[in-house]
This record gives sequence, structure tokens and C-alpha cells, in this order.
Amino acid sequence: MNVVQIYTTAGGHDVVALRGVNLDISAGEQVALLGPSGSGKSTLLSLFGGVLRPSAGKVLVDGQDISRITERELGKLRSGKVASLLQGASRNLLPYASPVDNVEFARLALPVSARRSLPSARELLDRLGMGDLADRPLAGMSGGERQRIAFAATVSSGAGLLLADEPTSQLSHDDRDAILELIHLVNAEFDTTVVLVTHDPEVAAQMPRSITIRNGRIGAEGRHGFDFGVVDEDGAVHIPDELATRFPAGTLVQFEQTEDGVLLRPVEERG
Amino acid sequence: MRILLLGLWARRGLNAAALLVTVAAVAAAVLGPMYARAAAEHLLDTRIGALPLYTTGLTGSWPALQQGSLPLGDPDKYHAPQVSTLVQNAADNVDGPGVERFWRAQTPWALDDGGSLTYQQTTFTVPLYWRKGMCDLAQVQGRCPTRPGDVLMQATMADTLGLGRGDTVTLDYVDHYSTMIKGVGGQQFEDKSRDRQVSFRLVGTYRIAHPDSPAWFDSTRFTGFDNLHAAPGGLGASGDSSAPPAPALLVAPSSMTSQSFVGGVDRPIDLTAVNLDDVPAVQRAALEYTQRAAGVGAGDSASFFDLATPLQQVRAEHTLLTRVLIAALAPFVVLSLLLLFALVSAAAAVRRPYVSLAKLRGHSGAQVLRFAVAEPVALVVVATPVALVLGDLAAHLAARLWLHGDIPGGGPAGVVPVRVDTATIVAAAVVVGASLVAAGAAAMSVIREPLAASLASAVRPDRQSSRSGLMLRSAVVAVALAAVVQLLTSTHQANQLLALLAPVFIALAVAVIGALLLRWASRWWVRRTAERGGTAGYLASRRLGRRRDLANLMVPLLLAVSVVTFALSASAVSDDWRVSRADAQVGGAVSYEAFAPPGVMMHLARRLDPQGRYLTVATVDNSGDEMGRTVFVDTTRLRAAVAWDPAWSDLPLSQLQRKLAPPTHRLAFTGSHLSVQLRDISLKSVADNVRELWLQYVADNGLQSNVLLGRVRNGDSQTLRAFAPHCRHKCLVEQLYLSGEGQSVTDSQGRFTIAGVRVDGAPVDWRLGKPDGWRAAHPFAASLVDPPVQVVPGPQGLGVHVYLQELPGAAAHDLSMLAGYARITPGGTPEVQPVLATDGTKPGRLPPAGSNLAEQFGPDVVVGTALNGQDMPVRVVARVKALPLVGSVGELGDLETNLVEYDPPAGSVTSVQLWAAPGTPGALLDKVRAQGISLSPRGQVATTLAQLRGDAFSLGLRLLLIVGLATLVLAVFGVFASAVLQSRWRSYEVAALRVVGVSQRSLVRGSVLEYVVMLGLAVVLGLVSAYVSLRLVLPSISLGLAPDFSPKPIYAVHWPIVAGVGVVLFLVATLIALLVSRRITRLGRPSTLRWAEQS
Repeated sequence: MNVVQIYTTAGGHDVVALRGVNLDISAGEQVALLGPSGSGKSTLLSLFGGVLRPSAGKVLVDGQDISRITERELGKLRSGKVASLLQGASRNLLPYASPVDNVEFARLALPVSARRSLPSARELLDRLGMGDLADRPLAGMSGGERQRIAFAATVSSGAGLLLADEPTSQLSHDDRDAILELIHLVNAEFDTTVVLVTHDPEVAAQMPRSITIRNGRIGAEGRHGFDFGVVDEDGAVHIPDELATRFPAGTLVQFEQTEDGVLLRPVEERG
Repeated sequence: MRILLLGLWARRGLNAAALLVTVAAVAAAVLGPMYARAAAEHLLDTRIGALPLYTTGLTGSWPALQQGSLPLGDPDKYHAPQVSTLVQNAADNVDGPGVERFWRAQTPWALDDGGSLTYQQTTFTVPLYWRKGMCDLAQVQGRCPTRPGDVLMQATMADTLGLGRGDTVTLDYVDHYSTMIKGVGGQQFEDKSRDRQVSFRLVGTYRIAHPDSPAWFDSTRFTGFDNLHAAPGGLGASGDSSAPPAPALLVAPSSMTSQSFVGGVDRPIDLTAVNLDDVPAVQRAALEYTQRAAGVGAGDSASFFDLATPLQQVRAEHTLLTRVLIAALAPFVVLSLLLLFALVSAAAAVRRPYVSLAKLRGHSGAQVLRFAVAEPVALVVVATPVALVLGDLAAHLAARLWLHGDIPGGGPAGVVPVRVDTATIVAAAVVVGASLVAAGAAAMSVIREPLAASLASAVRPDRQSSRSGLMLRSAVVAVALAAVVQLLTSTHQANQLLALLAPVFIALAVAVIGALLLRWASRWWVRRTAERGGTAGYLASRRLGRRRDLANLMVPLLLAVSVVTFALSASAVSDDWRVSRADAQVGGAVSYEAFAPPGVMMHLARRLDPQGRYLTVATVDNSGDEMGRTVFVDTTRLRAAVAWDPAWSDLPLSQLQRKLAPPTHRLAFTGSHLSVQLRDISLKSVADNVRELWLQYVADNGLQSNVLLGRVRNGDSQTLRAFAPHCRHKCLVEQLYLSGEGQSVTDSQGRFTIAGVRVDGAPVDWRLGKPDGWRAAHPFAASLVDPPVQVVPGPQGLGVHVYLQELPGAAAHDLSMLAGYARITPGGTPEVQPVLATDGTKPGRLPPAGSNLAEQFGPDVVVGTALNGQDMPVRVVARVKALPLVGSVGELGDLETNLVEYDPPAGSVTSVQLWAAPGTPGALLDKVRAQGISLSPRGQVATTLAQLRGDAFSLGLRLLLIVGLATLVLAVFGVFASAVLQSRWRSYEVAALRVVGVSQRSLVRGSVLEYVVMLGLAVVLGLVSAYVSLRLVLPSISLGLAPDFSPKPIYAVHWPIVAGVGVVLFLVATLIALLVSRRITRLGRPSTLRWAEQS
């Protein structure tokens, strides 16, 4: 994808949420999007889910540019290919319905044949280790249990892409781990591509790939415990946070090519 | 489907409220038309049922002797046909499919009114009557007549005649026959007659307990003066001088042998078979019957038949009723739908995240729509059958409670068909459809929201006023203005529906304007409180300034307050008018038509009721113009015995009574032998007619009498002597008058002096020499101010100057007359009669040209109409809004005063009525009847009022009131529910304010103040709009069908009602404010903010 996303605020001012984001995620990958509040990571997730359309650029999902398709096609995409887990368990559930009903509700958009090919709601909950919660009312569940049910309902349609916005926020460590375990499980078992947004570096660290968004751009990428800078289409590279204090805004730098790479040296102003 | 409806229970409070509102709206939509139809059916039954059966039932008759078939030569050649043959002939003319369907089975009868009987020099018609089943209907002492010559006689008549079982009664008959005579053109027929007597044998006596029973069909066939006393004055029951009827003799058919009997059949209408849908068929059948009756020459028997008028009246009332009901139900249904929309919108807002979730899960448009509308549609689907059943039950209940009563001939009382008809189905479909649209519209507003927007914020942002909303508000105001302008400029009451709906338009317009004004006012208030107001005032003004739902919250309460105030006031005005109408229509608590001269009735009433507590007598000239009739009442008991509505006058009735009082010191005498001494008699006439002097006086029995004192001859002195009967106690002198021979007119001129009067030889003081002792008596033949006689009192007696050929001052006035009477009357009777006149009565007719009426009597004296139809000078002593018997246009004067000079001639169409006060003992009325005076009931205030309260508009107003109260309850519920629904979101704000240190007390006070100002203003504006409606709209509404002479409604604003509604609703508004404010502040804790963040 390569997108620019601009919001227009209620006051009429334009706010650039994402600029020149160029990102490829392969099928079956597990990717965490990291970044401070307002950096644009949730916006990026909304673009993946077709909730928002980019101001410029393309968003290709399974080879299809979802920024150009109709609402009807978007609906089909959301029903079978892209599953979104919103931040906060309650936003993903019908609070008055049982876990089984919530799973069935999430699958309503699927064609009957597709639904039959999937495990039943109860079987799915069993396979995800939530069989004991299947008929319990949501009102009596803990936050972690509700989040697990929300997760189960989200993935119940068998979508190839799971978009999860802060799935572990406001959860205890145990519940967080349980959710991460579920994410890994569906990735492993159903080969589901997972893109999750998180503030938590520990969560990101448990994902094979993490992408840090800063000021609407991809600032860094981590793979298997190693962090990398990312050069964007304009040739710009974000300086890592730990070095940012050495390069305050407006600092003049010199690039020096060495055998190992490129040396970035601040220029001291004279006089 | 199960998943779609899973949330019904979760949002049970909201859904229950929506369910309740939907049930109310649909039930009201069903109840209205069903009740309207039932009420119309009730009107159909009561209107027709209240009429005499012979005006709505079919009658066929066939005469024994056909026209032109007189026996030739010998009356004995006549052989009476069998009654059964005549009955069969008559029945053939009262038949047909329509008749069979709507009229009951025929009852045969035969009537012979050719016989007569003379008793105490009075000839009475004595009919023979046979009716199938008559002996079962009557209370028979003896046996039922079965053989020729057997008769049953009315028991009192038998007592009067002194006859008993086995005795014989003989009737006189006249047989007609024709003979051949030689005429100019050859042989001709000549009709002749022969008297014949027929004797009948009494086999018993009978009494009629219920002459009005439908089984008798027409009671006039057998009723008459039951004691064979002719009415005083020689008047028959019908007011004419024909032979009065005696009660019929009940006979067997075989007794009908004369030429004059007829056989017939009666078919009373079957009200249980006549329903509203059948009216056209009934009208067709009635028309066929009328045409057939005219074709066979039976017009007389069908002449009273008139079904078209009541049917047209019912149709008109049905239309009116439907309009009233539409107007009554419109605000209720509109309010219900508004509340429903508010509730389903609130429910949609609650379901908004779930709809977003459905979209996020990729549900198709149709699936999202189904999910969004499933709950509200399910509510409507559940509510509809429940509402239909409830509406049906309510209609049945209303019909059972209100639409009942004995319906003469209408079968079992209280059986009013309550059906679901087309109007009901259409009304229910419209409201159910509107409910579904409201549900769909609320759902669509959520569905249309972009997914990103709905996911971005938990609370839907307030929407700015849209252009369409502004247009809608402007349209409401414009429609209200247009309605008011139309009503003010329209001179007729054609558009009743618009008039009835106008209060709703006005209330909506006031609500829109009021909400606008409140917003402006609150902005000013918030600036003021920001500078120097307290915290509570600041919080209240700030919220009021920001609220976008002011109109939504104010409209229901304002509308309901306005509607209920209008309904209460309209009902009060309408009910007052009906009371006034009943009083004016009946005259007394109970009113009777009395068949006796007015003076006799007045005298009798005074004698039997000397304290004046129960009875009074009134007369009205039925031949007069109904738009300006004059009623004369014995005003000495006006206060006690007249049904007087206090609203008719600001003055108490006792004060009015004093203004009208008759003369207290009337000239009277006791004795039989009168002698009148005349002196200086000098009279002449062109025709040289005989001149007679007469005395008009009121005898002991109240009968106005005239006695000839003697012929007057010219000369120095003459004494006239006469016998005055019935003056043993006290006779009242009314007039002395000079006439021609036998009360014929005279053209006399000249003068004479009445020197003295003696009664039974003793001189009596008739105030002959007193200056104000006598005056010329009205009416004057030429004008109101030019009497043909002048009195000149002096020491020698009373000089009487007669100018019958040429009036004094004729040259100046160009007035002259050739003949008449020279009448004088004691001066105690006022020459100008004081009268009460209604506001709607013109000041009086102008006096004739050249007359100096005003100069003679003063500018306030005008021309009125006397009891005998003559002009008379009257002085309007007070103006009132209405009067008994004349309604809003007419006058009322004292009867006794008027009788002195304007006694109506015998045989006039003057109606003499006896009015009885509430609680009049029955024995008192029996004493009146015992004097041989027949009293025919005219009406009772109570029953008349009950009938009037059962008319279409009254029935409609009753429902308007009930629905208005239901609207009020619904509005209060709706406002409370809306406020409670908002309390969750309001609590966040309160929690935030508490976090920053605002005290709980200030928060509660601020919230209470906010709601009290908002709802209190709605109540006040509702009262204002009701007041505007009452002033502008109410006078445009027909409050019911009224005869022309009915009093006009008094469109006064009933302030106690307005104040009562205002106080009660203001207290309710305050209670709502307290409850809601406590709830908001209870929910608004700092922890609420954490919950909000989490959700």
C-alpha cells in the first residue's frame, strides 16, 4: 500500500494523519503497529478494513484495491476476508446476546454455504478454549473473558486478515497473554494474517514483525527482536527515539558513506 | 430472526414505553371511528325512537265505504264489509321487501269515529276502536268484547256517565245515501243523510296504564277527555271548537257496522333492524311507501309519516361527530407518533453501536436494515393486535357507559352496535403505517451514518437545525395563522373540521415560537448569570441555551395543556349552553300544555298555589315569528317556578321580577248586581247605531267575562243595571267599553259621564273622580298614541269623551277612523308594559309615521307585540341574554298586565303553558286536572337536558375531553420518559462538574430550575394557546344543532378551569423536574466518568 490520509476537522482545518505510507504485509504474517497516540496507526488499520478510504494512494487487500470498490463490495470483503476487532471488548459484542449468539451474529453476512463449511459457533469456541463460556451471559464475565469472546466472534467468519485495534489494552497480564496466544493460534491454525495496533512494546515484541508509526509515517520496523529504520519513497529515514535528543529539529547533518554503511554526523555551526 | 430480536428484553424499559405509546396511538385510532359510528347508531336510534311511532311507522287504512259508492235510495242497503277484508286491503299497501326488513310485523286495527254522544249540552265524538291484542294491553275490568255490540268503556268515563257492566250506551250516527233526482241536465245524484242511533252493551271498563306504549302505535285513536268535561272556554283538545273527543269504546271487529269505520294495519319501525348502513335502503322503502300511500288515496293516514327529516338529521350529526372525533384524536395520535418517534430514535441511538458492528461484520444493506428495524417493527406488530382489541373494548365500554337509554320501540335498551368498519380499518392502517414509518425513519437515521463516524464516537453528535426543520417550523406557524385568519374572516360555520383542528395548529405554532423565544431568552439569561448570577442559575441558563431539543420537550406538554384546557372549556361552554337551551326550551322544571284560557289558568295556579312556590302560567303566541316572539308569564312567581339560567342576566331574578310586577291595587268588586249611573249623555253616530256599555272583568274562576251593562241613550241621566255572574268573592274590573249592538263596532262620538257605581245596591269607589283613576284602554285602532276616547275626571264623576268618527287632532296627524270601541281601563294598569328583552332583540319597532310615541311616553318606549298580536307600547326595563320559550330573540312581559287590555280572542293559536317548579307535588297537578283542564306534558328540563347531552357534538366533546386528558397523561409520560432517557448522558456532565468542585446542591437546583423553566413555560404557553383558541376558534365551532330560537352560547373563558389546569400541570412539571434532577445527580458521580470512558 502507499497512501495519504487527510482528515478535515469540524473547524474546517485539514489534518494529515498519514503521509506516504508504503507497507507490504504478506499473507500469514503477524504484524504489530506501534506508535504514540495520534501517530496514525489506528487510521492505518481503518484503511486496511475499508472503514476509511485514503485521500490518495491505494490499499490492496488480496490484490484488490479496496479504496476504489463500492460499499457493497466492501461489505463482502468485511464479511469473509477482513475481520476487525475494535478497541474495547464491548464494541465488538452484542452485550445482550450470549457468546454463541455473538459468533453467529458475526457470521450472518456469510453465504449459507460458507457458513456450513465453518465449524459451528460452539465448536469454534471449544477449539479456542472458550467452550465453558459459550452460554454464559456477557454481563457476568470479566474483561478478559469478554475480550476473548470478542476475539472469537471477530475471527469466526474465517477471514484471512485480522485487524485488531489495541486487543490487549486494559487487560491483566494473564488476559493479555491469553489474547496473544489466541492470535498466534488463529495465525497458526487458520493461516490468518494478523495486524494489530498496540501501545505496548511487550505485545509488539511478541509479534514477528512490528512497525512503528510516527507522525503519519513509518518510523521503524522490528523483525524478530531487531529494530530497523525504514527509508521511505522520499528517501527520508526516522531517527530512532533514543538518538532523537542528539538530533533536535533543525539540526544540520552530514552523510558520510563508510564501509559498513552511511554515517550521520551533526554539523557544528561556526561563529 | 431470533438474533435480531434478542435485544428486545435488554432495552425493555424503552421498548415497553414505545409499545405503550404505539398501543395508545393505534387504540385511539380504532376507538375514534368505532365510537363515532356507535354514537351515530345511538343517535339514529334515539332520534327516531324519540319520535311518535306514527311519524316513523307505516300505517295503511282502508275505508268501509269507498268514495262515490253511497247506497242508492235507501241507507239500509249498505252492508258493512268484514274488518278482515279492509285490513287485508290496507296490508297490501304496507308491504314490500324493504318494509319487511325494517318495519315490524303488522298489527290490524279498526276505527270508527262517526259516533257521538251528548253529555251536559256538549257533544263528544266517541270512537269505536278495535286493535288486535288490545285487551292484553289495557287493564280490563270485565271481559273482552267478542260479540257485536259489546263494548269496553274507559273507566272514568263510565263513572262520569254512571254506567256499569251490563248497561247500555247509545251513540248517534249519521248514515249517508244518495237519491236520483231530476236536474237541469237530466238525472242527477243527490246526497242525503239519516240520523241513526246504535246501542252498545257494556261488558266492562278499561284503563290504559301506558298510552305511550309502542304496542298502541297511535294513542290519539282512543284517548280523549277522560271525564267528559269539556275544557273551559269551550275549546277542544286541539284548540279548535269542534266536538271534543271522548275516550274510545273498545269493541270487537264485528261491532264495526257503520259507514264511517276504517280498517287498517300499523307497522312500527324496527330500530334493531335499522343501522347506519341501512339508511339509504330505509329511505328508499319510506319513499316507496309514501308514493304508494298517495297513489291509493291513503294520504291522510300517512300524512304524519316523516322519516326523512330524522334520517337527514342523523346523517348531519354523524358528519359532525366524525369531525369532532378527528379533531379530538388528531392531537392524541400526532403526539403519540411524535413520542413514538422520540422513543424509537432513542432506542436507535442505543442500538447505534450494534448497527455499526453489523456493518463492520460485513452485513449486507438489507441485513443491516432488518437488524435496525426489527425491534421497532416487532413492537408495532405486537402492539397492533393488542391495540385493536383494547380499542374495540374501549369502544364497547364507551358505548355501554354513554350510549344507552330506553329507546321507545327500539328493542332492548342499551344495544348499540359497535362494529369495525372501513373507517376504523383505514384509521388503524394509517396509524400503524405511520408508526412503521416513524420506526423506519429512526432506524434509517442510524443506518445512513457513515461507519467511520459511528465507530469514531460513542455518542451521536447533536445535529444542527436543518433547512427542512426550519421549513417545517415555518409551515406550522403559517398553517396556524392561515387557519385562524380563515376562521375570523369566514362568516359561516362550514369548515368545522378546520375550526376543530385550529387549536392544535395554534398550540404547535406557539410551541415553535415559544421554543425560539426561550432559546433567545436563555442566551440573555446566561450572559446575565455569568456576570452576577448564582451557580444554579448559571447552570440552568447554560443548559437551556445549549439544548437543541427544547421544542421536542415543550411541544408534547404544551400541546396537551392547550388541548385539554380547550376541551375542558369547550365542554363547559357547551354544557352551559345545553343547560340554557333546556331551560329556555321547557320554561319550568316540568312544562305542560294547558287547554284552558290563560286567565283561567293563571287564576287557578294562584288559587292552588297561593305561595307561588310551584306553579306559574305562561303564554306564547305560536303564530308569531320565532325569531322574535314574546312570552307572557305570571311574573308574581317568576323566581320560584321558572327555569332560569343565572347566566342569562347579571341581575338576580328577584330583581327582574320586581321590575315586571303586575299592578298590586286593582279595582275589584264583590257582588252580582251592578248598577252604573250615567249623566250628561250626548252621543251621536252617522249610522245612528245602538250604543251599548259593557264591563269586562275577571270572574271568581279567573275567566275573563264581559257583561252588558245596558244600552246607552242620550239624556241627562241613565242608570244601567246588569247581573255579573261568578263574583261572589272578588271580581277584577278590567275595562268599561262602548260598543255597537252585541259588541259590534260603533262610530259614536260625543260624551257621557259615569257618575257612580253600585254593587248589590251599595255604592262602591271605582275612583271615578280621581285624576289617575282611569285612562283610555289599548289597543287603539289607529295608532298607539291616538285613543278614540279620553277620560276627564271631575267632581261629577268620570267624563268620557268619545271620538270614534274623527280623532282629536286628526288634522294634525291625518288620522281618522270610522268605527271601533271606546274602551277605558282603571289607571292602576300601566299603559306602557315593562318587558325584559334579550340582547339579540332589536330595540323595538318604530312607531307609525307621525306618531309621537316617544314624546308621549319617553324615548325608551317602543312598539311591542301583545298577547293578542296587537301592537302595544313597551318599555324594556332590562336586557338579558336569553329568555324562556323565546331563546335569544324575544321579550318577556307580565301576563296579568297584558290580559287587562290584550286578552286573546277565543280560538286563537295562543299556547297556554303551566310550568311547575322542581319538587311540585303531583297532587297539585291532579287538582288542576280535576278542574277539567287537560295537561299535556311538553317536556322536562332534566329529560330535555339529557337528550341535549346525547347529541352528536355533546358526545363528541365528551370524547374530546377524555382524549384530551389521555393526551395530557401521554405527554407527561413522554416528557418524563425523554428526560429520564437523557439523564444518562446528562449525568456525565454533572459528574464532570462535580469533579471540578460544583456542589451537589447547586447541581440539583440548577437542574430543577432548568426543567421547571422549560416545562413551566410549556404549561404557560399551553394555557396561552388555549386562551387564544377559546377566544378565536370556539365561537366558530357549532356546539350542536339548535333551533333558531335557542339561546346563543356564551363563549366565556372559564378561568377556574384555566387556572386549575395551570396549577396542576405546573406542579406536575415541578415533580418531573425534581425526580429527573435527583436521578441525574445520583448518576453523575466521578465514577460515571470512568464508566463513560470505558464504554
